[in-house]
Amino acid sequence: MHKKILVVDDYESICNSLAMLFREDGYLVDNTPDSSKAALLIKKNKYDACVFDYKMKPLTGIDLLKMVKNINPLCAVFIISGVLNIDLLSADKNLVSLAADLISKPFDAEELLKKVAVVLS
Amino acid sequence: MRKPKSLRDNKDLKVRLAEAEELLVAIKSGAVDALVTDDQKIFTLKGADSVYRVLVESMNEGAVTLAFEGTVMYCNKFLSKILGFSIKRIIGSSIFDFVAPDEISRFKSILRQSKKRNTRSEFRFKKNDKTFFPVLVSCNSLKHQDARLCMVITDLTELESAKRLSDIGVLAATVAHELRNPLASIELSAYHIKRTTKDPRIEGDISSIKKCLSESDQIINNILLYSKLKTSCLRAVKINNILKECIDEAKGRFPRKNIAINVKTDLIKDLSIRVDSLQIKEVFNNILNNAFDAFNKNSGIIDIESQVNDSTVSILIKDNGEGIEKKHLDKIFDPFFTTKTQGTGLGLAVCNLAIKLHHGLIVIESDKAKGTTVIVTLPIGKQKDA
Repeated sequence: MHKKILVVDDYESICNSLAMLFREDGYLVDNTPDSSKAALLIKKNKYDACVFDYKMKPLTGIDLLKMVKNINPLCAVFIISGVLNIDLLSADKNLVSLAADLISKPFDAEELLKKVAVVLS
Repeated sequence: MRKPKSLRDNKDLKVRLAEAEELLVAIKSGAVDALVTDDQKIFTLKGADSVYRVLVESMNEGAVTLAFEGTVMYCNKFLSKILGFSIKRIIGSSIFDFVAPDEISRFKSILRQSKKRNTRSEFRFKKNDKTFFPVLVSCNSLKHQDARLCMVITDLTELESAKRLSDIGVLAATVAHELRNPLASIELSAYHIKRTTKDPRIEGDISSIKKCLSESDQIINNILLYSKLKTSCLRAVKINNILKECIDEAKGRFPRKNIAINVKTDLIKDLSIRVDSLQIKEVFNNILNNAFDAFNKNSGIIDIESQVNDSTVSILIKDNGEGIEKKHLDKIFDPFFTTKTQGTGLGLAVCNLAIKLHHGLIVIESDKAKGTTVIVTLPIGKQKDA
């Protein structure tokens, strides 16, 4: 069965490119730049992995992370962020335990795809 | 027998008159300038005056007294220092000589208002070297002396440049941050092109895109670090590991240059100190970048050594490339100063700030012909060899 991935980034070209790469790798992918639409998708579908941008409105990547984990604790959530100090984010222990990884932008695309593949295999 | 009351009063008055006459003589002779009584206490004005005089003479604000038409009657040392003119030159001349020409009429109107009430207003003053600088002028009239104004002049140069720098910092940080999304997008697209075409002819292009992305990332990191350097998050780390990591990355950034790097840091192999590893990494990155950039030809030597004593560890990074010109040496830590054709001029400013935040020291020795040595010294703190 195909694994299901949700990609949410309000920067549209990142959102689209990432979704395209995942699709080409054979995953079923939903993607949206709108975090409130993403919340609806999370309630409707069961995702195996998610990639969320950190800084979004009205819901942040962290809001979405908590929402997904409430519904489906096994879903692997990757947070991608342009915030300088990913250490600051990771200082929040709770967050670290919830997220599969925190990745700062710009990131190596190949590496991210590999990380997602590993957790989904 | 008691004297009548009037006689007693009379004698009393005579004594007091004699005292007053004595005092008058003393004032006339200059032995005492005046007396002020505060209930029972008596002060000479001379004594009281000297305290204020010292205060005005030695304070780190400019002070002048003016005749209403603007002639300087008195000027303190500090004003003479900030204006760059001698006190002699300032006293007797018109205060308007030191005001920026386009602000003289406003200055005059402030002087007129100051006769009636205290005023505070910002102006630009002119220095001896014909440059202008911002000041805050507080002015009020001396009530007991006719036709006089006194003025306290505060130099706002540093305050203003600090504010401008912090504005630039906020702007730069915003711009830098906003660039990360497009950069991430470029990276994704480049990767997609690479894996869909699988054409060996574009491999060079892709790696060139990747190299540019990493350079851009470095610029952004510097700008963000510089604007957010106020907070550091200290953790015990092996300083030698950070250094080695940075050396490897630097080699990767300059694949075309044939530079021999001799690392002799065995002394600090196991030394752990409490630092913000992100900041210290940027410090080494910047110093190494400068060292590589110092080689105009594509070969050279970089020596990296360490020194340890009881309380500090020093890391020396020496290159034998082109050194820094003498006239530039005192500017190298200024933000935005650079002699390179490319670069933000933030590298050493970042280093300096970061090392300061670690209570350390960064020293740069350079000879145009022989090369440059950068010495970074950091406190070891309580825990050694962890």
